Amino acid sequence: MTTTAALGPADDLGPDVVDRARSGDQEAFAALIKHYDPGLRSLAYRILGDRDRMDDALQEAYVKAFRALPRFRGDSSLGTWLYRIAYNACLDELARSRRVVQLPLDDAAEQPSSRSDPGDMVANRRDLAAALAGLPLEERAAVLLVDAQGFDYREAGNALGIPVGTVASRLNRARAALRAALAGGAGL
Amino acid sequence: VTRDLALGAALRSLDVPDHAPGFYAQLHARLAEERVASLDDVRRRRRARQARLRWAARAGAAAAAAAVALLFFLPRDERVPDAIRQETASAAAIKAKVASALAQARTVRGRLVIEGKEALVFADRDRIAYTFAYTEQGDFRLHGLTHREELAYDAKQGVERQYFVDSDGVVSAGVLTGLAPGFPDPSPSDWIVGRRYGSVVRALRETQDGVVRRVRHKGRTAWRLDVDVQPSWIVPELTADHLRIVVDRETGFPVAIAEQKQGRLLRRTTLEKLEVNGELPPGSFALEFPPAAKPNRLDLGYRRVELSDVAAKVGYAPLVPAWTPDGYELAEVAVARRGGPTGTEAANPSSRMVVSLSYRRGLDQFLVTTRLSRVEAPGERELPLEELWGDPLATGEGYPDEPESITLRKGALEDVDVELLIVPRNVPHLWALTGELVVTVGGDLSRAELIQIAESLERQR
Repeated sequence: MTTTAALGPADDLGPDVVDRARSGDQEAFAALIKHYDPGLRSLAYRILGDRDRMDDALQEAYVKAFRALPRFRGDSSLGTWLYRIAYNACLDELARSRRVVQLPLDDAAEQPSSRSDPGDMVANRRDLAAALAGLPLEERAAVLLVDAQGFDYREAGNALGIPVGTVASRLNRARAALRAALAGGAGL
Repeated sequence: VTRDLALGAALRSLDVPDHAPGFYAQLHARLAEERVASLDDVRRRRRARQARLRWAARAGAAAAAAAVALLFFLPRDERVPDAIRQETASAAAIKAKVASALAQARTVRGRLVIEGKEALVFADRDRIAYTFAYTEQGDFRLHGLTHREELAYDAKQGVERQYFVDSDGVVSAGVLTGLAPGFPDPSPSDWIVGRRYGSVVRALRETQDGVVRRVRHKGRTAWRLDVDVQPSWIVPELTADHLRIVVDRETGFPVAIAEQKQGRLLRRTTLEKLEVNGELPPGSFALEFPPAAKPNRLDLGYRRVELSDVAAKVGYAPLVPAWTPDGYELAEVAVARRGGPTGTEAANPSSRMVVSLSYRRGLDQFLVTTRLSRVEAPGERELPLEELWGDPLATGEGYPDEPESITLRKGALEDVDVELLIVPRNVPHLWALTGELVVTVGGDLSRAELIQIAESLERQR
């Protein structure tokens, strides 16, 4: 299995950073959070649709994680555990606000690309963002965790609170829609 | 695992905004609050476990308020413009005045008001008020004005009674017997706060770098002392980095303390209607429980004995100071075969064969305590004593102490290295670890007095 940096262990933070964080060391916990934050931000932003709500959800998630970390037993990886807390915080945020989520479609900023035509790339990202926004929440989360963040199915299932088989079926549907968008089609 | 790498790369290329400015500052503050709540929770659970008394959590609050009242009279004096009567006063004169006031007081009573969030004790209130009374024997009485809470401590008997009525009318009541006469052992509630707050004034006697000004306080001349203190490294946002203390010039009593953080007021404690050496009405220290109260009872195991009986009780000759500062007299002797753990977050081993000698002079008090250093618990007894024991009077989690190391030159502890600590947040004290005993000397004492007492300790024959 390969993992991305976002999910990977926090070994590069120092051998005792998790232990220190579990004992209530704020600085150690902050280091842990910053390690996982890029991936968690990506997930929260794609679920909630704007930065303010992303921040609200992640504030709640990080505080809950800090509170619960002393009881974290390592049944799953720390990263999986954090993603689950963040995902639930996003669901809470959605339930709390009951607002229509305007998902981000304006992904047109310059990014490194191997393609020769920047215009094509921008258009593709717009299409992809639109396709992602059009997916049901559960499918969106599954494809973000597995394909973008590098979770395996079991980890994704743990993070989302669903069986492995459900992860696979959601992935299939999500990938079909997103591949079509990437190919430039309107298959949404 | 099947993973669509191209799709994954494309998904990762989508823009994700950074957090809004201030996100991490807000998170940091919230984590600090969580830490406070967590510490509070730990303390509450520890108290509950040790005492199995529902009212124990309230006892800290009441006691704290009481001790504060005794030793600080909190001011609203900061409203007085500094331009009025601001002169540089003599720190030495103030120290002498405060020392004299505390040493000569026989009784003190008044009203205590605490305003502001006291996150560790009074998390649910912004303002609480009590009347209080205190005697040179250590008797103590607290009566809630803003809520139904009563506390009475009988020093001679070592018994504390307390009840609290919550907003739903539920009465929590308890009786603590067998209390030790003071720190670091289970002590009356006034010491909980006395150690935390009252010692600020005591430590000021040793402070060399505080700023002193002459001000008006409620129409009276007073001194105002400004002292920088170290905030907790665990909850720096919620603990003071500066103390502003007002001492009434005529009586020499501290009448107000403002705890500030970066110039912002965290909490203000005010002593009002202070009456020193007045006659206390009969029954001032009696406490009747409400009819609905079903007091929990707990015996903490400390027994008042004669000094001559101590060796027979604990199996070793006690260490007794041959010298004490003028005016101090031995007031109480207590022993316990087993006592609670001491030190930061009670990290020290459980105490065995404890001897606690309490000396008093007016409202001043100091104690000499000893307990066996050897440990019985499996898994601990094999460890070096130095790894097992820390300062029984350590300031507490979040306040790293930097004690002074001294080698005693005389007495029963000759050539023993001791650690001496005088900081605003703690009782001035020293402690020593030998192959037989853990020794503490602490209280209303100067550095020189601490050392002189420690060097005068001799085995009582």
